[in-house]
Amino acid sequence: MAAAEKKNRPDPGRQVRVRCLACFARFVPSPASDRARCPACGLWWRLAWVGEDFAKIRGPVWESFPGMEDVDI
Amino acid sequence: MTAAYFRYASVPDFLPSHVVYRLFAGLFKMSQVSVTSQRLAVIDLERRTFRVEQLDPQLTSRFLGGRGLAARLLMQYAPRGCDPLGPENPLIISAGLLTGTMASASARVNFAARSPLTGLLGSSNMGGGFGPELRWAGFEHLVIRGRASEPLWLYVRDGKVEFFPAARLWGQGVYQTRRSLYAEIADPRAQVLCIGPAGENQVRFACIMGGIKSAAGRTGMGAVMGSKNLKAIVCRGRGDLPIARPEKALEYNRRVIGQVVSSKVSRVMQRWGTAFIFDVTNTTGLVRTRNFQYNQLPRSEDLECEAMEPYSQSMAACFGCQVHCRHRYRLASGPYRDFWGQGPEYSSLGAFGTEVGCRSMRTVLECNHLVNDLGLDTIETGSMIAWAMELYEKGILTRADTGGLELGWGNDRAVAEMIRQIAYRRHLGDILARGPLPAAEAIGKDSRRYLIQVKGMSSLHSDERPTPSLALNIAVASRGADHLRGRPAIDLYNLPLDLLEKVYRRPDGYDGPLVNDWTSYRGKARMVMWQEILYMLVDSLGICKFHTVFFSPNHPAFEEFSQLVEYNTGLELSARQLWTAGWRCCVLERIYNLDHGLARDDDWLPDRFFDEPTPLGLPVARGKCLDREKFAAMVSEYYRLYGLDRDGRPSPELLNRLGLSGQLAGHAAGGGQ
Repeated sequence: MAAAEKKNRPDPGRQVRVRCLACFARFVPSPASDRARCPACGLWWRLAWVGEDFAKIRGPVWESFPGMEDVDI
Repeated sequence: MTAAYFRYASVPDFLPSHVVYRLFAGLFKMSQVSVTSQRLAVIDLERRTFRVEQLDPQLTSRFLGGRGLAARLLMQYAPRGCDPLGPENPLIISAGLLTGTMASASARVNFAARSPLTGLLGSSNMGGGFGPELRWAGFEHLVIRGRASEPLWLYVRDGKVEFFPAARLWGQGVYQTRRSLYAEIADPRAQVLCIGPAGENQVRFACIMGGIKSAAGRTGMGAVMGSKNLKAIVCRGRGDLPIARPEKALEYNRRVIGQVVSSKVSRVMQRWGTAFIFDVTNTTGLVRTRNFQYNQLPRSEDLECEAMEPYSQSMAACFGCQVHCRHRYRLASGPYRDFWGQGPEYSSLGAFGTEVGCRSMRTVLECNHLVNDLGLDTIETGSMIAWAMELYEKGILTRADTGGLELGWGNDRAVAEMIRQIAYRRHLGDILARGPLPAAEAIGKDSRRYLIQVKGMSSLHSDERPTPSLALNIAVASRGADHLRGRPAIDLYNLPLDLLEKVYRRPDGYDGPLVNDWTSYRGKARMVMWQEILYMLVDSLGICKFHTVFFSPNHPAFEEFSQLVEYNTGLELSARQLWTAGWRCCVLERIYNLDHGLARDDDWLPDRFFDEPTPLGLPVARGKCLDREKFAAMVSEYYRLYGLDRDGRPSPELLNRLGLSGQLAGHAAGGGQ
């Protein structure tokens, strides 16, 4: 197998971390969870999983997003 | 010694890449040849003739191929100030120097002409499979001149160009045109370029389609093709490309592939395509919404990349690419239920989502089909409609102008209908089809104030008010507001400074400031210049931008491309020499624009970027607008780094250094060759 293909294989043993888009702190979400809260700034995020070893932030939990109270678009 | 010949397209899909490499590495013996000779077909549509020229090999080392050499050919063949839609404006199609070789993702082909949208440089770059096929057919470049007396299509195959009547194709959409041509030529491996009704009707932002999705989208190259009565170009080649050092080329390319596909961003793109960007930018507040009134569309989960999963059947790729960034999708109902679609790109999520206030992936996919079938530039189309919607909201336009259409935010049906109006030039669509500045002139009433354009071309749906580096990129880009000419996207990652320095100090040893805060103005001119030269390089080599430092700081750059060029072509150009070649080509594009009236004021953004703070987004992006003074200083720094004077004109020293003396002013005063 090519080195590239090896590198691209899922690595179940690797600790999954995501980076908060607001404060850039890295944190560990629960496995397979679809939501997580940044322990540094407290914002709630929706998550998507690229693979079992790789999660990314999908978007905010809009109800808790700052400054949304008066927004109606 | 003889060079080895390589035909990647004939590799069966089921073979894993490492088997393919071993196979080829075993078959080919190392050879030492220089493969830098480029062939050009000059096609005369009026006389239905063509002649073949061999380009001076010196041009290859100076301008490489693709976009860089296309700019050089444009200077040679286009009379200065020619009518963009007149017969004297040539349409130049140029494969990259590495297009179709063993280099990864080497699918790209460039289109150049004087732009009917901006009156400046027309230049657009496309993936898919046409570029490699053109080279296998025996040509690196086509220069198409004149205007046919009746609609034609061209068949380029094995060193020849044939002319066929296209009257029965005229009026057909892109999808049907492709079906008709494939039925006629009965060769599924041929590649088809064509225009849709938008190109035929000379919509100023019509594109040339090279597949159901691959497009030369920007600056109106489809309108140029339409003005020539040229409906399509079919290409089929049975030749091979010589590879200078095939064994090394294979091995090195394997390393490059590893570099690309092991990055996180490639893994994400392999699953969701470029739509993944939306999740980050919309969350942060970097997305143009309702034209330019907001910088975020809250509660738009159905536009996020994950919302494509119910529609996506698989992922597809351009020639020779391992990333596979395009969804293949099919809608279960509606007028396009019998057609495969590809995409949507990130740009479509803005054009038919946030900019026009729509929140539905289904709308995006339907409009994606529509613009691809009609042959329209997605970005320009969405931007023009969003602008019209804001004018409608403000009462500058009324239903009397829109043909009875209720042009309210989020009106999905109105967006689709307005796309058709533009392509067929009906009602308001006829005005929008002229492009931003002529349309504003026709509408009047302060409408220009609401345009989001630079040099007469609309911007992607990104909102650059909080990001000075990205704002500078669209202000100075050579073809108008454009993210693909110099966007330092990695500036948004807040990378460690040492990593940023590793990227941006090479290959010329820059020792000025660099700052890893994307709200800062400091050091950003260098980032934009560096990215412009890098993107010029990959566009000239025919490599996809996703295989270089665009979304990842760890992807290949000058050093890797130096090796790829040497092993594939035998041309020994160091990283520093490639940097200079890219610089030369960037300055050449500027010279073309200066010759057509570009001034410092054109490297600037609309007032709204400076006067209207962003209302939404994360705290880091909220309440932000650009500072005029700091922005002007950034433009000046950008000029200084390039060696341009305070008006953005190249100094005599710079022209000498780059070997461009004599290019400025009157590049083809004699009327072109």
